[in-house]
Amino acid sequence: MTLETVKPVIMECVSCGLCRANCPMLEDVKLESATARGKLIICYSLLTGNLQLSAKVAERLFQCTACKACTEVCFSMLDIPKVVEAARSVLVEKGLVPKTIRDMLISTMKYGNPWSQPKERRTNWLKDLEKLNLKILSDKEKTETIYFVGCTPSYDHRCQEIAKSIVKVLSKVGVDFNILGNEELCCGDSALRVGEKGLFDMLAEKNLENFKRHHAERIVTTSPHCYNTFKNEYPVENAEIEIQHYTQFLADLIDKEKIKFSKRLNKMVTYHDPCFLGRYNGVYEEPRKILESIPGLTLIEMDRAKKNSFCCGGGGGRMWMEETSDTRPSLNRAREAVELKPDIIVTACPFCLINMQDAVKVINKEKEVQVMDIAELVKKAVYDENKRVKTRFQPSE
Amino acid sequence: MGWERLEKIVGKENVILEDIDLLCYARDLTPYVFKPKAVVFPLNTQHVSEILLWANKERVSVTPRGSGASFTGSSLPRNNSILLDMSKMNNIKEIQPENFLAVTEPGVNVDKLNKHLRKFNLFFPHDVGSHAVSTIGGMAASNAHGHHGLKYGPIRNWIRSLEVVLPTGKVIRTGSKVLQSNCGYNLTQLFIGSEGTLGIITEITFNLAPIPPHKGTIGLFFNDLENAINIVPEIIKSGANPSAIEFVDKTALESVNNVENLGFPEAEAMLIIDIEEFYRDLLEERIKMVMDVYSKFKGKKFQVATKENESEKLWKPRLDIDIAMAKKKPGYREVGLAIADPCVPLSKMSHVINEIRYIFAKHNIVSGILAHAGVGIIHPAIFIDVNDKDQWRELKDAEKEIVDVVLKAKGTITGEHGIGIVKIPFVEMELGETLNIMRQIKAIFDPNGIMNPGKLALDVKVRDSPEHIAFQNYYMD
Repeated sequence: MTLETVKPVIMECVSCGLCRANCPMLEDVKLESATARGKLIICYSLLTGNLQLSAKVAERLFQCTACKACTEVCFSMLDIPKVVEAARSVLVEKGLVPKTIRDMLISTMKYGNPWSQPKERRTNWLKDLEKLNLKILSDKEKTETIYFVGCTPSYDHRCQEIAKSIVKVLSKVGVDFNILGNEELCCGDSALRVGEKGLFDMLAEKNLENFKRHHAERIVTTSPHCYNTFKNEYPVENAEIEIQHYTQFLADLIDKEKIKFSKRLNKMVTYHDPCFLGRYNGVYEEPRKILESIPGLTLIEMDRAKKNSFCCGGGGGRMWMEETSDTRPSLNRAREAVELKPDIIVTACPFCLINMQDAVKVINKEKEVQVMDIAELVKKAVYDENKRVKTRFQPSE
Repeated sequence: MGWERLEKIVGKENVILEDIDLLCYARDLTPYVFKPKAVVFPLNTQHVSEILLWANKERVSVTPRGSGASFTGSSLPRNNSILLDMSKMNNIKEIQPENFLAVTEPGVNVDKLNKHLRKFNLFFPHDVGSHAVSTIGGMAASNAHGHHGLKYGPIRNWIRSLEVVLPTGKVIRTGSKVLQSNCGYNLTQLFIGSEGTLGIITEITFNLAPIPPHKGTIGLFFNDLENAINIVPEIIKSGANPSAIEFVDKTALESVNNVENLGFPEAEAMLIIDIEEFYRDLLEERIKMVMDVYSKFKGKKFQVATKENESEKLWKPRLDIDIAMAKKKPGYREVGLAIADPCVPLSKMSHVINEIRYIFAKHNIVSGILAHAGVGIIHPAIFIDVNDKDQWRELKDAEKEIVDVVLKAKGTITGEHGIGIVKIPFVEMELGETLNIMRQIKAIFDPNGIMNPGKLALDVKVRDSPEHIAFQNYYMD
């Protein structure tokens, strides 16, 4: 991808500055270069030769979480993250990417995940699960529904709880589904967002091969990033496979009265919309429907909710960058959430969960408010932890 | 260039000198590019005072900026100015609900202010198109006027008092915090709309209003433009007390209707009328008043909304034209130049709109006409391919003809956005000798001419200079 390919979008920007509203990087950095307008001016200047590629250009162009808050308020609804991606692809070619991003890319290429973890440990999170109706697909085995766990819920200790909760709920309900096990590969979201299109294409090809080999009709994802990538970024052949985020899948099961809640959770919660679920795909109602279905749970909304939700700072490859500022997006969002004095900040994205949990600690509110994923709440409300059975599933080492 | 002095005043982190960052402050909605020498973030009035004292002594020009959302180039740093970004002076200093009064610093965003005011059941009702980013200081300096200006007027009607730093560094206070003051010249009004050419506003004291809980929107569709305009004074006379009467022409209506599948009827023109009331039955009564007038105009196509999402839908033809045109005319983008906001007498509106449409058709310019019809402000939304020199030339020709039509109709070239850079060639045509009086006033406050140079036609007569144009194929004046 080159900047020339996105020149029409760059030229269409009228520099009105509306993109300043709700921009998580502007609230942090405070400079116009953090905004979409600033980035398009930088890109236009690169195109016209008024600016040359440099480490400083790279620094500014990596100050974007791809949250699409700018697109939401833009008079012309310009797809700014696509321009940033194109600009970053030029930086990648020139080797002008931050070190932590480079490490992430190397890991993704080498291990198939951005966490620098060996492939064979991808299913370690299953070890302590009890006997569940869960199968890891063998080579050419057919399946209707693949639960695509994702890299972060596979390797990150905290986020493994989301995957475990999803598996427990689906098993409890009796849904027939499978996982890819160690065969699962990164969806490529982070590689794509930081401009490594070649790596992304390779991952997409391999993942699609996997889906086709198992004749998958539906992919259910933990992460909104995987969900969005499969749904909107993969080649058209993928259109025959139904892609769902797990909140959509669970909401549907609630609608069909297949999920029955056995416990009351008398808690006040506020829901943080993940950008790649909400703004990217318009999935606002299903997560709320699930929360409102859980007996005893009270949902209170933040001012910035749904299409105006404020990014946690984890998208667009920013998850792999050092964040030390006192006004970084996750801290600003956590401060906004705790103003409502909820018992729990709930989200539906592994990146959001990690960022918000960290932020709550940094602002010293961890004793007052928990951070949880919707899946964990559903599991709490449906799953009776006291009735344990032996496992017949042996995860690979 | 004495940056150390600035760094000493505001701290090193608040003086921006990196070329790449400065470049990002060089643009707004106009075709102009003016890169500042430095961007400085003052944190308080004392900072502004010390900066101006230094700048005046060193003869460095200073341009203040809110969020840079101007349509006119008013906050672009001409003449190698330093840019004072006021966004970090963003404290809401005082709310006195019992006196319907607020005191804020200039960098407060109007939406954030209104969010804060909700707990008092009060609001600041100036919903300019860029309300999501607009600052109170920027709105005061450009005398902003929102969509609901028919009821609430321009911002100048709401400001009681200002704290202003003069180019000498002296801090003055204008007006009074009470509702009425007749104590001497009204300097408050002089600074409002002065676009930073006289001094820098560092504190604003202004009125607040109670929030009307009941709102309704009426969409009226017309088979001819004249009826859509002629009904406006009749609706005002009816006593329905609308807060907005907005006009949308056929092109704009059709474009948005088609692109967004809104299902509105085909029409030559549409009016969007907002009514805000404190009692539900009063709202219904007022809606009926409008419908009675409409029936006298033999109108049959209408929609009434009393729910927020329904109102939003009725407003779409007025607000979403850029989204629609981006899809309808790829490669085209909105440009305003000097004809983005003329204001004409209500009695001349249909004539002027028809003339504007004729002129655009003659010059093959893609446009939709929108208007704050209750006030007489016309917003031609103009879309061109900025890489096409012929289109720029045609637009410049059309611009002159439209200014001529507006002035002949006893209108003004700007009812809302101000002058900035883009309207400079036409200011003297409208103001005549009065412009010289303005220049004398400017000289009293700013004898060294350091405050926001190159604006309001005070110190320059030309707007275009080749080294400051963003587009290669722009057609110079």
